Amino acid sequence: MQPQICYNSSMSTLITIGIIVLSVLIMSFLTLVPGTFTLFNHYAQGRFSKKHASDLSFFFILGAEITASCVFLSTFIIVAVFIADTQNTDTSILTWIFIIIMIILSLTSLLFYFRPGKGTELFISRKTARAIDRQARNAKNRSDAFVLGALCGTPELFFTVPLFIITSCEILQLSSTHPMSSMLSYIYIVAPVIPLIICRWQFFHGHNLADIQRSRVHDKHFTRLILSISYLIIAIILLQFRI
Amino acid sequence: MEIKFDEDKIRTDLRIDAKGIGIPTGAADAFIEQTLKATKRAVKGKPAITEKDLIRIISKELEKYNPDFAYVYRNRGKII
Repeated sequence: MQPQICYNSSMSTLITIGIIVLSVLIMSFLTLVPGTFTLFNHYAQGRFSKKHASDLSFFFILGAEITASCVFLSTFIIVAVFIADTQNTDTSILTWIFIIIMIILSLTSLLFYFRPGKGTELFISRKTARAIDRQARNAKNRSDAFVLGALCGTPELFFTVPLFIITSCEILQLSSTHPMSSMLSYIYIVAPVIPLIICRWQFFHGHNLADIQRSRVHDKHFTRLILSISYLIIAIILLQFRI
Repeated sequence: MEIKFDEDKIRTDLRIDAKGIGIPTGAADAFIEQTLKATKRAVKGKPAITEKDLIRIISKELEKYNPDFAYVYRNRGKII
Protein backbone atom coordinates (compact mmCIF):
# COMPACT_ATOMS: atom_id res chain seq x y z
CA MET A 1 0.00 0.00 0.00
CA GLN A 2 2.72 2.42 0.98
CA PRO A 3 4.25 2.90 -2.52
CA GLN A 4 0.77 3.54 -3.95
CA ILE A 5 0.12 6.24 -1.35
CA CYS A 6 3.49 7.89 -2.12
CA TYR A 7 2.72 7.79 -5.85
CA ASN A 8 -0.69 9.45 -5.30
CA SER A 9 0.78 12.07 -3.05
CA SER A 10 3.57 12.99 -5.47
CA MET A 11 1.11 12.96 -8.39
CA SER A 12 -1.18 15.33 -6.47
CA THR A 13 1.79 17.61 -5.74
CA LEU A 14 2.68 17.66 -9.42
CA ILE A 15 -0.91 18.56 -10.35
CA THR A 16 -0.87 21.37 -7.77
CA ILE A 17 2.41 22.68 -9.21
CA GLY A 18 0.97 22.42 -12.73
CA ILE A 19 -2.13 24.43 -11.81
CA ILE A 20 -0.01 27.08 -10.09
CA VAL A 21 2.40 27.34 -13.03
CA LEU A 22 -0.58 27.84 -15.39
CA SER A 23 -2.06 30.45 -13.04
CA VAL A 24 1.26 32.31 -12.94
CA LEU A 25 1.37 32.15 -16.74
CA ILE A 26 -2.13 33.66 -16.95
CA MET A 27 -1.24 36.38 -14.43
CA SER A 28 1.80 37.37 -16.46
CA PHE A 29 -0.18 37.50 -19.72
CA LEU A 30 -2.98 39.74 -18.39
CA THR A 31 -2.24 43.15 -19.85
CA LEU A 32 -4.31 45.78 -18.05
CA VAL A 33 -1.75 46.58 -15.32
CA PRO A 34 1.32 46.38 -17.63
CA GLY A 35 -0.55 48.50 -20.21
CA THR A 36 -1.39 51.13 -17.60
CA PHE A 37 2.20 51.01 -16.33
CA THR A 38 3.53 51.58 -19.86
CA LEU A 39 1.27 54.62 -20.28
CA PHE A 40 2.11 55.90 -16.81
CA ASN A 41 5.85 55.55 -17.39
CA HIS A 42 5.59 57.31 -20.74
CA TYR A 43 3.75 60.28 -19.26
CA ALA A 44 6.08 60.39 -16.23
CA GLN A 45 9.14 60.48 -18.49
CA GLY A 46 7.45 63.15 -20.59
CA ARG A 47 6.64 65.38 -17.64
CA PHE A 48 9.41 64.88 -15.12
CA SER A 49 13.13 64.25 -14.80
CA LYS A 50 14.41 60.71 -15.31
CA LYS A 51 15.07 60.33 -11.57
CA HIS A 52 11.56 61.41 -10.57
CA ALA A 53 10.00 59.20 -13.26
CA SER A 54 12.01 56.23 -11.98
CA ASP A 55 10.90 56.98 -8.43
CA LEU A 56 7.23 57.17 -9.49
CA SER A 57 7.43 53.92 -11.46
CA PHE A 58 8.85 52.17 -8.38
CA PHE A 59 5.86 53.32 -6.32
CA PHE A 60 3.46 52.18 -9.05
CA ILE A 61 5.00 48.68 -8.90
CA LEU A 62 4.87 48.75 -5.09
CA GLY A 63 1.14 49.60 -5.22
CA ALA A 64 0.45 46.82 -7.71
CA GLU A 65 2.42 44.29 -5.65
CA ILE A 66 0.77 45.19 -2.34
CA THR A 67 -2.72 44.95 -3.86
CA ALA A 68 -1.96 41.61 -5.55
CA SER A 69 -0.56 40.23 -2.28
CA CYS A 70 -3.47 41.51 -0.19
CA VAL A 71 -6.10 40.13 -2.59
CA PHE A 72 -4.35 36.76 -2.79
CA LEU A 73 -3.81 36.48 0.97
CA SER A 74 -7.40 37.54 1.71
CA THR A 75 -8.66 34.93 -0.73
CA PHE A 76 -6.34 32.35 0.82
CA ILE A 77 -7.65 33.06 4.33
CA ILE A 78 -11.29 33.03 3.19
CA VAL A 79 -10.75 29.74 1.37
CA ALA A 80 -8.95 28.28 4.40
CA VAL A 81 -11.82 29.24 6.69
CA PHE A 82 -14.87 28.50 4.53
CA ILE A 83 -13.89 25.89 1.96
CA ALA A 84 -11.12 23.80 3.54
CA ASP A 85 -13.41 23.47 6.55
CA THR A 86 -15.84 21.40 4.49
CA GLN A 87 -13.47 18.48 4.03
CA ASN A 88 -16.04 15.93 5.04
CA THR A 89 -18.67 17.09 2.60
CA ASP A 90 -18.70 16.35 -1.10
CA THR A 91 -16.56 18.99 -2.80
CA SER A 92 -17.24 17.81 -6.34
CA ILE A 93 -20.02 20.40 -6.80
CA LEU A 94 -17.54 23.13 -5.95
CA THR A 95 -15.01 21.66 -8.39
CA TRP A 96 -17.68 21.56 -11.09
CA ILE A 97 -18.40 25.26 -10.45
CA PHE A 98 -14.70 26.08 -10.87
CA ILE A 99 -14.53 24.01 -14.06
CA ILE A 100 -17.47 25.94 -15.52
CA ILE A 101 -15.90 29.26 -14.47
CA MET A 102 -12.59 28.27 -16.10
CA ILE A 103 -14.38 27.36 -19.34
CA ILE A 104 -16.28 30.67 -19.28
CA LEU A 105 -13.01 32.56 -18.70
CA SER A 106 -11.34 30.59 -21.49
CA LEU A 107 -14.05 31.66 -23.94
CA THR A 108 -14.19 35.21 -22.57
CA SER A 109 -10.43 35.71 -22.90
CA LEU A 110 -10.50 34.34 -26.44
CA LEU A 111 -13.48 36.36 -27.65
CA PHE A 112 -13.74 39.49 -25.52
CA TYR A 113 -10.42 40.21 -23.75
CA PHE A 114 -9.29 42.53 -26.56
CA ARG A 115 -11.77 44.72 -28.40
CA PRO A 116 -11.87 44.38 -32.17
CA GLY A 117 -9.61 46.85 -33.97
CA LYS A 118 -5.95 47.57 -34.57
CA GLY A 119 -4.95 48.67 -31.07
CA THR A 120 -4.85 46.76 -27.80
CA GLU A 121 -8.07 48.15 -26.36
CA LEU A 122 -9.24 45.85 -23.57
CA PHE A 123 -12.66 44.61 -22.49
CA ILE A 124 -13.01 47.34 -19.83
CA SER A 125 -15.55 50.11 -20.46
CA ARG A 126 -14.21 53.08 -22.42
CA LYS A 127 -15.20 55.37 -19.53
CA THR A 128 -12.97 53.35 -17.15
CA ALA A 129 -10.14 53.27 -19.71
CA ARG A 130 -10.32 57.08 -20.09
CA ALA A 131 -10.34 57.51 -16.29
CA ILE A 132 -7.23 55.30 -15.94
CA ASP A 133 -5.52 57.18 -18.80
CA ARG A 134 -6.36 60.54 -17.19
CA GLN A 135 -5.04 59.36 -13.82
CA ALA A 136 -1.83 58.05 -15.44
CA ARG A 137 -1.39 61.38 -17.25
CA ASN A 138 -1.97 63.51 -14.15
CA ALA A 139 -0.11 61.48 -11.49
CA LYS A 140 2.65 63.65 -10.13
CA ASN A 141 3.77 62.29 -6.76
CA ARG A 142 4.48 58.97 -5.05
CA SER A 143 1.03 58.61 -3.53
CA ASP A 144 -0.68 59.15 -6.93
CA ALA A 145 1.61 56.52 -8.47
CA PHE A 146 0.99 54.09 -5.59
CA VAL A 147 -2.80 54.50 -5.75
CA LEU A 148 -2.84 54.07 -9.53
CA GLY A 149 -0.72 50.93 -9.27
CA ALA A 150 -2.90 49.58 -6.49
CA LEU A 151 -6.26 50.21 -8.17
CA CYS A 152 -5.76 49.91 -11.91
CA GLY A 153 -5.96 46.11 -11.80
CA THR A 154 -9.43 46.15 -10.19
CA PRO A 155 -11.40 45.73 -13.47
CA GLU A 156 -9.36 42.58 -14.14
CA LEU A 157 -10.27 40.88 -10.84
CA PHE A 158 -12.94 39.00 -12.79
CA PHE A 159 -10.06 37.09 -14.44
CA THR A 160 -7.81 36.74 -11.38
CA VAL A 161 -9.99 36.02 -8.33
CA PRO A 162 -11.18 32.56 -9.57
CA LEU A 163 -7.49 31.69 -10.08
CA PHE A 164 -6.68 32.91 -6.56
CA ILE A 165 -9.43 30.66 -5.16
CA ILE A 166 -8.29 27.58 -7.09
CA THR A 167 -4.63 28.21 -6.23
CA SER A 168 -5.50 28.68 -2.55
CA CYS A 169 -7.39 25.37 -2.55
CA GLU A 170 -4.42 23.65 -4.20
CA ILE A 171 -1.85 25.13 -1.81
CA LEU A 172 -4.07 24.21 1.15
CA GLN A 173 -4.18 20.62 -0.09
CA LEU A 174 -0.42 20.40 0.35
CA SER A 175 0.54 19.91 3.94
CA SER A 176 1.57 23.15 5.65
CA THR A 177 4.90 21.51 6.44
CA HIS A 178 5.44 20.59 2.78
CA PRO A 179 8.49 22.54 1.56
CA MET A 180 6.68 23.53 -1.65
CA SER A 181 3.70 25.05 0.18
CA SER A 182 5.18 28.40 1.21
CA MET A 183 7.45 28.61 -1.83
CA LEU A 184 4.45 28.34 -4.20
CA SER A 185 2.65 31.06 -2.26
CA TYR A 186 5.68 33.38 -2.56
CA ILE A 187 5.97 32.70 -6.30
CA TYR A 188 2.30 33.41 -6.73
CA ILE A 189 2.53 36.70 -4.83
CA VAL A 190 5.55 37.94 -6.81
CA ALA A 191 4.29 36.79 -10.25
CA PRO A 192 1.90 39.71 -11.04
CA VAL A 193 4.67 42.31 -10.90
CA ILE A 194 7.21 40.47 -13.06
CA PRO A 195 5.79 42.00 -16.31
CA LEU A 196 6.02 45.45 -14.68
CA ILE A 197 9.66 44.93 -13.72
CA ILE A 198 10.45 43.80 -17.29
CA CYS A 199 8.60 46.82 -18.67
CA ARG A 200 10.51 49.18 -16.34
CA TRP A 201 13.76 47.57 -17.39
CA GLN A 202 12.82 48.09 -21.07
CA PHE A 203 12.03 51.78 -20.49
CA PHE A 204 15.27 52.45 -18.68
CA HIS A 205 17.25 50.75 -21.43
CA GLY A 206 16.07 53.07 -24.16
CA HIS A 207 12.80 51.52 -25.33
CA ASN A 208 9.85 53.89 -25.65
CA LEU A 209 6.05 53.59 -25.63
CA ALA A 210 5.98 53.12 -29.43
CA ASP A 211 8.36 50.11 -29.29
CA ILE A 212 6.48 48.47 -26.43
CA GLN A 213 3.05 49.14 -27.94
CA ARG A 214 4.14 47.74 -31.33
CA SER A 215 5.19 44.49 -29.67
CA ARG A 216 1.93 44.37 -27.68
CA VAL A 217 -0.08 44.78 -30.89
CA HIS A 218 2.08 42.13 -32.57
CA ASP A 219 1.54 39.67 -29.68
CA LYS A 220 -2.16 40.42 -29.19
CA HIS A 221 -3.51 37.20 -30.73
CA PHE A 222 -0.81 35.12 -29.07
CA THR A 223 -1.72 36.63 -25.68
CA ARG A 224 -5.39 35.87 -26.25
CA LEU A 225 -4.59 32.30 -27.25
CA ILE A 226 -2.28 31.62 -24.30
CA LEU A 227 -4.88 32.98 -21.85
CA SER A 228 -7.64 30.89 -23.36
CA ILE A 229 -5.61 27.67 -23.55
CA SER A 230 -4.29 28.07 -19.99
CA TYR A 231 -7.79 28.49 -18.55
CA LEU A 232 -8.95 25.50 -20.57
CA ILE A 233 -6.06 23.30 -19.38
CA ILE A 234 -6.83 24.21 -15.76
CA ALA A 235 -10.46 23.17 -16.38
CA ILE A 236 -9.31 19.85 -17.90
CA ILE A 237 -6.89 19.18 -15.02
CA LEU A 238 -9.65 19.85 -12.48
CA LEU A 239 -12.03 17.61 -14.40
CA GLN A 240 -9.51 14.80 -14.74
CA PHE A 241 -7.85 14.81 -11.33
CA ARG A 242 -10.01 16.67 -8.82
CA ILE A 243 -13.45 15.07 -9.20
CA MET B 1 -17.31 63.14 -31.13
CA GLU B 2 -16.95 66.78 -32.21
CA ILE B 3 -14.25 68.77 -30.46
CA LYS B 4 -12.72 72.27 -30.47
CA PHE B 5 -9.24 72.70 -31.93
CA ASP B 6 -7.34 73.70 -28.79
CA GLU B 7 -3.84 74.52 -29.97
CA ASP B 8 -2.30 74.98 -26.51
CA LYS B 9 -3.63 71.68 -25.20
CA ILE B 10 -2.40 69.81 -28.26
CA ARG B 11 1.01 71.49 -27.97
CA THR B 12 1.30 70.45 -24.29
CA ASP B 13 0.25 66.86 -25.06
CA LEU B 14 2.69 66.64 -27.96
CA ARG B 15 5.54 68.01 -25.83
CA ILE B 16 4.88 65.32 -23.18
CA ASP B 17 4.78 62.59 -25.84
CA ALA B 18 7.96 63.88 -27.51
CA LYS B 19 9.91 63.96 -24.24
CA GLY B 20 8.51 60.53 -23.28
CA ILE B 21 9.74 59.08 -26.56
CA GLY B 22 13.14 60.69 -26.10
CA ILE B 23 13.13 63.33 -28.87
CA PRO B 24 15.48 66.24 -27.97
CA THR B 25 13.54 69.36 -26.90
CA GLY B 26 14.72 71.62 -29.75
CA ALA B 27 13.84 69.12 -32.46
CA ALA B 28 10.54 68.28 -30.75
CA ASP B 29 9.50 71.96 -30.65
CA ALA B 30 10.30 72.36 -34.34
CA PHE B 31 8.27 69.23 -35.25
CA ILE B 32 5.37 70.34 -33.08
CA GLU B 33 5.20 73.87 -34.53
CA GLN B 34 5.35 72.56 -38.11
CA THR B 35 2.65 70.01 -37.32
CA LEU B 36 0.39 72.57 -35.66
CA LYS B 37 0.79 74.94 -38.61
CA ALA B 38 -0.20 72.19 -41.06
CA THR B 39 -3.08 71.06 -38.83
CA LYS B 40 -4.43 74.62 -38.59
CA ARG B 41 -4.38 74.82 -42.38
CA ALA B 42 -6.21 71.49 -42.65
CA VAL B 43 -8.98 72.38 -40.20
CA LYS B 44 -9.40 75.97 -41.43
CA GLY B 45 -12.89 76.63 -42.72
CA LYS B 46 -14.31 73.39 -41.35
CA PRO B 47 -17.32 74.10 -39.14
CA ALA B 48 -16.67 71.06 -36.94
CA ILE B 49 -14.00 68.43 -36.49
CA THR B 50 -14.07 65.07 -34.76
CA GLU B 51 -11.38 63.86 -32.37
CA LYS B 52 -10.64 60.96 -34.73
CA ASP B 53 -10.07 63.32 -37.67
CA LEU B 54 -7.81 65.57 -35.62
CA ILE B 55 -5.70 62.62 -34.44
CA ARG B 56 -5.47 61.38 -38.04
CA ILE B 57 -4.34 64.79 -39.37
CA ILE B 58 -1.78 65.35 -36.60
CA SER B 59 -0.32 61.84 -36.77
CA LYS B 60 -0.05 62.08 -40.56
CA GLU B 61 1.97 65.28 -40.16
CA LEU B 62 4.13 63.81 -37.39
CA GLU B 63 4.88 60.79 -39.58
CA LYS B 64 7.03 63.10 -41.75
CA TYR B 65 9.33 63.88 -38.81
CA ASN B 66 9.34 60.86 -36.49
CA PRO B 67 7.42 57.56 -36.98
CA ASP B 68 7.47 56.72 -33.23
CA PHE B 69 6.01 60.13 -32.39
CA ALA B 70 3.25 59.62 -34.99
CA TYR B 71 2.57 56.07 -33.77
CA VAL B 72 2.16 57.17 -30.14
CA TYR B 73 -0.18 60.00 -31.12
CA ARG B 74 -2.21 57.74 -33.42
CA ASN B 75 -2.66 55.20 -30.60
CA ARG B 76 -4.03 57.68 -28.06
CA GLY B 77 -6.77 55.94 -26.10
CA LYS B 78 -6.13 52.62 -27.80
CA ILE B 79 -3.50 51.24 -25.44
CA ILE B 80 -5.76 49.94 -22.63
